[in-house]
Amino acid sequence: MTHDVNSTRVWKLHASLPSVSGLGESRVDAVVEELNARGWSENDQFAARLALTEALENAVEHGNNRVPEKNIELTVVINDSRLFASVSDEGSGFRAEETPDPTLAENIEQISGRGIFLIRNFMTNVWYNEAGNTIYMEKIPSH
Amino acid sequence: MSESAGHIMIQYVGEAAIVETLNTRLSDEMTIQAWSDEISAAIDKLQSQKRVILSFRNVKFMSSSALRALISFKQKTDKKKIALFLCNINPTNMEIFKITKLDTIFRITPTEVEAQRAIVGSKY
Repeated sequence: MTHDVNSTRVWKLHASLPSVSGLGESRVDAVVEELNARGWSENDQFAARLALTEALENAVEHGNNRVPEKNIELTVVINDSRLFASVSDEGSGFRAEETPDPTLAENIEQISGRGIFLIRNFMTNVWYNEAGNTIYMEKIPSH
Repeated sequence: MSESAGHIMIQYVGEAAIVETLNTRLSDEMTIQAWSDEISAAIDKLQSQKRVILSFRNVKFMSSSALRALISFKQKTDKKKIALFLCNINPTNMEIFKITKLDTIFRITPTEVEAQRAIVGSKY
């Protein structure tokens, strides 16, 4: 992992993580700490924590099928106006547009299927690479 | 009477079991599995017609993995005809329930006091 504070204006983090649930938590803590230092609201800090946690857990579970030897690449860049993050796994990818809406009556009591939905709702912009194994997220704070 | 396990503390008040989650975060798989096992075991011990109130006073952050466990608790309690209430959910975590519309399928009260009051007259 490299963790660089390049300047007072731009903050960057890059980490290669094994596919084990929870191992990215300290990196997410570092991101949220930086957002807090920059005066982001509690809601925006929460949104970033949630989206990063969901993306990392999805990569562990669905992308790399919990094979610890497979890596997850996490990149976060924070500047004065926004947070940008990407999470990549070694899986074959998926088509986000095909994930069912978990709020529909027929899905509401389904055990899983809310991670991507939450990321979409809590981040400002979300997109994927063509293979579908890298998620890109952008959060513009509300204040 | 009260009992405690690694992730929860259970207090029995009348017909209700008030289960306080001790964790501040419910997001990684290992923690959620252990927490979920303890709550499931507590539900298994309860007889039909009992009530379970899950309190999240200490929980600052929960992810969709915690929601999965909550839905499995709902399915389990529905099957046993045990009333399930959620309470003391902080405003940011509550947003997750609202956005996913899970606030429409769970009985959620501000605190355990309202949950206990709401119990009166509830079928199960």
